[in-house]
Amino acid sequence: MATVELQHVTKRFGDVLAVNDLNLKIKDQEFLVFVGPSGCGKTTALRMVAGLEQQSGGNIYIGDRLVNDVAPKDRDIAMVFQNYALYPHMNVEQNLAFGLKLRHVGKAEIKRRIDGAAQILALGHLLKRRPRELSGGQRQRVAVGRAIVREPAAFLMDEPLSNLDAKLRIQTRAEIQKLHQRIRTTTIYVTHDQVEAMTMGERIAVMHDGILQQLDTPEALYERPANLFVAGFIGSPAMNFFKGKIVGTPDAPLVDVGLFSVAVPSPQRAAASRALGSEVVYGVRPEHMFVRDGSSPEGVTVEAKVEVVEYLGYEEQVYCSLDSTSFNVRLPAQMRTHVGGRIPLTIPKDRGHVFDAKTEQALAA
Amino acid sequence: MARASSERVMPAEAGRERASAAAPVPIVSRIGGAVGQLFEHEWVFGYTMIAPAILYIVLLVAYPFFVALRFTVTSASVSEPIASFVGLRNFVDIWNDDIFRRALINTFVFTISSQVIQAFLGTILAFLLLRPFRGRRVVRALFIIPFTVPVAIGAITWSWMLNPQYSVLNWVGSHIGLFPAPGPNWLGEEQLAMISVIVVNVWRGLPFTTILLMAGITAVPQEIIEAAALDAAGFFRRWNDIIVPIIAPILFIALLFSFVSQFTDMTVVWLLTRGNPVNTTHVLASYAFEVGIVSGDLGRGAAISLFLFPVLLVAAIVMLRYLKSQQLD
Ligand SMILES: Nc1ncnc2c1ncn2[C@@H]1O[C@H](COP(=O)(O)OP(=O)(O)OP(=O)(O)O)[C@@H](O)[C@H]1O
Ligand SMILES: [Mg+2]
Repeated sequence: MATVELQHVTKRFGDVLAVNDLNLKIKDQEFLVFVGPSGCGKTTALRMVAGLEQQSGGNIYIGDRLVNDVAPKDRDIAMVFQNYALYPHMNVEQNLAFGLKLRHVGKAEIKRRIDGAAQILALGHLLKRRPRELSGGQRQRVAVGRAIVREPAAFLMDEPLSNLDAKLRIQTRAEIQKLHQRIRTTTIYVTHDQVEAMTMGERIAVMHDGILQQLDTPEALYERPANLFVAGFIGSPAMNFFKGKIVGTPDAPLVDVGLFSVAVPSPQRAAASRALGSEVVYGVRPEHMFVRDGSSPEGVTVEAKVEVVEYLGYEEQVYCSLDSTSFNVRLPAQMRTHVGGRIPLTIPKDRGHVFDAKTEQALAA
Repeated sequence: MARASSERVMPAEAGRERASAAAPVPIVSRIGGAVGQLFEHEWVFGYTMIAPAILYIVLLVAYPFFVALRFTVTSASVSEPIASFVGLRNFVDIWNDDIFRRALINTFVFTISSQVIQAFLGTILAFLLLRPFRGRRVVRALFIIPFTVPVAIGAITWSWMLNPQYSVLNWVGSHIGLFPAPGPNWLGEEQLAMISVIVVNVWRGLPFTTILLMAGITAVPQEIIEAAALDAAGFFRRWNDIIVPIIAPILFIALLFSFVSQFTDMTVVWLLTRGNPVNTTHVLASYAFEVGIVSGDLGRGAAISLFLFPVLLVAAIVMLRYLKSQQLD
């Protein structure tokens, strides 16, 4: 087990800057997720840690060892590939044993490790089957098994669940989490799915265009997104944004978005006081708005027109408009919102986020 | 309009009669219609589509084959077209013929050594050409040339290069001091001639073997090769334990295929040496041609060329079986 550290790591493919000055340290035993939209450089970053891609600049450490010039096989990491990359001509047992045999692990030890992995992953009855005789989920477990038996310093997983159907993905997600709680091997997990990232990551590195946007716990990403990109990327449906301006007094700054004015949430008040008059973007999550009733928290209330209602059983997703601005809210299903009607929506006082319109960064606390 | 719609409600038969009476349908389209209706039957359509292939096989493969088979047991020759039955005489004759026996051995030497050398060099070349390097496209294009040049032209060029008087190889060789002045008589000495024939044959077949291997290697998913690299498999292990087993079906078919075609091939031998010096470089195919066509002894020629037929038949059956089992998988 070990830490993994990237210092100023950069990767260029011709003109494309796939990873741009990436700095981060994965703690020992940590489960860290790289998340970001397609093409943001997640896979490239992971492959550089594995040694399958040589970085254009920067240093990579696994444990205390600088591994820049260490061959993939000597980096003491195991990788789970998106398409599993099982050896098609070997049965499950041989797939698991291949890497161990080449590392001259003893026969008895190989058997012990395979039995262990088979038990953890429920592969016992599949050991003699070839990959093509397995279902997608079973192949995925074999791929994880092949990483486990190596007992490496770190696991690297590149979208290992993306080939599974929705239900199996959720189930396997939980299994991988359980597995990590049990063996606690340092893990870097790549996904483009923010739900997967939020549910699995102890910390999450959000990437965009090769640049690390924010590295934080799921709660922190949700509660205190560092910039507009993270705010829009984390959370589903995405946060609503309104363009506006800081007005009011230094003691009580407000964001004026034209249609309404709302108090700057308390953590950002000090920064807003120093920025009176500047252009900002005000963001509020769909799940944080309420239909006003007696017990609603303090905030500003607007009369919104209901455009579309998506009924989900446990809640409704309601697309609203305010003059020409549209946004959406999540409301309890029993609201029975009517399309075309008007509803009084309260934006609670401290639930918003204020971003500088030019730098797109959150106003500093 | 009104008339057309009234026709539509009439029974189909009556409607059709009326239409043809009113405005005769052009004869071509009537035939077309009839054929079209016939093709609605799946078996008619199927057999029509496959007919050219069947015709081709019957006329150009099956018929000549049975004629040749009949020749092997007759005394047929160019001067004596009405042949008499001689039983297995032809086979006994060729078996007692030293040149035939030499050609039989040569066929095996020629085929096996060409294959082995091609497989070996082809593998190395495939890996080299798959690596990214400057000017790779040009090198690849140049490399394909032997494959695209007509065999006859290639072989004639080679025969000039190996010619005792004009040999460019000998000229260069003797000038850089590899051997004394005139240099070896490449096509004039038994062993050298055989080696030359094999070298030229390899030269001709190597591009195809290499391309085939490149295709095979590229067909192995990159992720699997990377997984093997992470599993501590070095270059040789990856080749031997991962790539070869995965592309084995392609390799196996390619190998059988080229064995069969090499066994029956006479091009390079014929163009380069015509079996000389003193009939020591003949393979079965070239000797069969020499005896059967050049000398006109059809019966013996047929016997020579069909001598290895049983072996090839077994190879072909194995091949087809194997293909079928791969499909069912
Ligand atoms: N071998 C390569 N050659 C050239 N460009 C590459 C190569 N690999 C990746 N890139 C480019 O680098 C960028 C990052 O690619 P990468 O595969 O890391 O994205 P990703 O975040 O994993 O995306 P996805 O979610 O689609 O897998 C992309 O713009 C991609 O086009
Ligand atoms: Mg990727």
